[in-house]
Amino acid sequence: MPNADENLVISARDGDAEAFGCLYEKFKDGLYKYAYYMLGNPEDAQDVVMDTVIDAFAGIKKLREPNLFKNWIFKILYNKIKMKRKGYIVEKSFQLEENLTKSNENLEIETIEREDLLRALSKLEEEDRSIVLLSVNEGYSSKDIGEMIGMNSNTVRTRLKRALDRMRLFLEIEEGGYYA
Amino acid sequence: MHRHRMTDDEFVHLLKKSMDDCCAPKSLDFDVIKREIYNKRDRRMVFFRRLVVAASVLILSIAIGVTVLRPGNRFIDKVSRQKSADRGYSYSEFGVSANDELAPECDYFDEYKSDSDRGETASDALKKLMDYRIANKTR
Repeated sequence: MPNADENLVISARDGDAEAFGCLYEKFKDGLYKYAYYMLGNPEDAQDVVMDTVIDAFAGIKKLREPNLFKNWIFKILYNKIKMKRKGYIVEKSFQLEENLTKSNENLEIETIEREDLLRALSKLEEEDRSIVLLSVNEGYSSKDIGEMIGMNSNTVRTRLKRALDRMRLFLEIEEGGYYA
Repeated sequence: MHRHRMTDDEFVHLLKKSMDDCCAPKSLDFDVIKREIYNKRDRRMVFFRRLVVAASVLILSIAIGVTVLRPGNRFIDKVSRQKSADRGYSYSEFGVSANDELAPECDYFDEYKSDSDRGETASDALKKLMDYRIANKTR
């Protein structure tokens, strides 16, 4: 029996814009977060999310399996981000202040500063960044990520581990041992 | 004093927690996007309507052109014959026809000839000359 989300997808597929809106509102923050950390700037992230939603709204009739709505919309976003990044003439830097000073005396680390996080993510390859974000933020399994980005699930697992290690190392060394 | 080194799971948890404060801006609310979608759709509809009207007009013009101007068309033949007959009658009555040579004494015809540069055709000039002659004869 279909759950609430699947019912919304079915209604949206039948042309109910409000149902689509409800679905989108559920995933909006996740979509934006993924786009933002992939592209490193809020304007581009807004653009790609908006394009994604417009395309998804126009193409939802073609979605055969309602339970795969989230994967489907993230896949559209993944492709949009890829296209956006292809359009960058020079790889955009995150334009952060280089001289962020850290105190090593804090005993408990609550969160990582966004700038440091972006910098650590920027050290990863595009696909690795995608894998980390989809896995950490959205909780996708290696299999789902593999299907989304066209990769074997074992490769996804290996790359996720390697990417997390690289981020951790960066945060330990480059950021003065403040994190990790 | 060294801090306790995080486990992999703790690190992933820290990453997730750190990313959680990033929320979509108001500009990505569905109401805003919906307006954008409908505006786009309206613009597309207007464009297609214009395209259809323009294409219809073009096709209609071509169809009329092909039908009416086809060689052997009765209507055109009839009209052109009538025109020739009318012209022959009115001119021949006064002793001139469209094939007559221009009277060399009509100096001002040169003016008309030169007017062809400004878009006046020789037949227009000839018609004016004929009118002039008719006017002189009837005076």
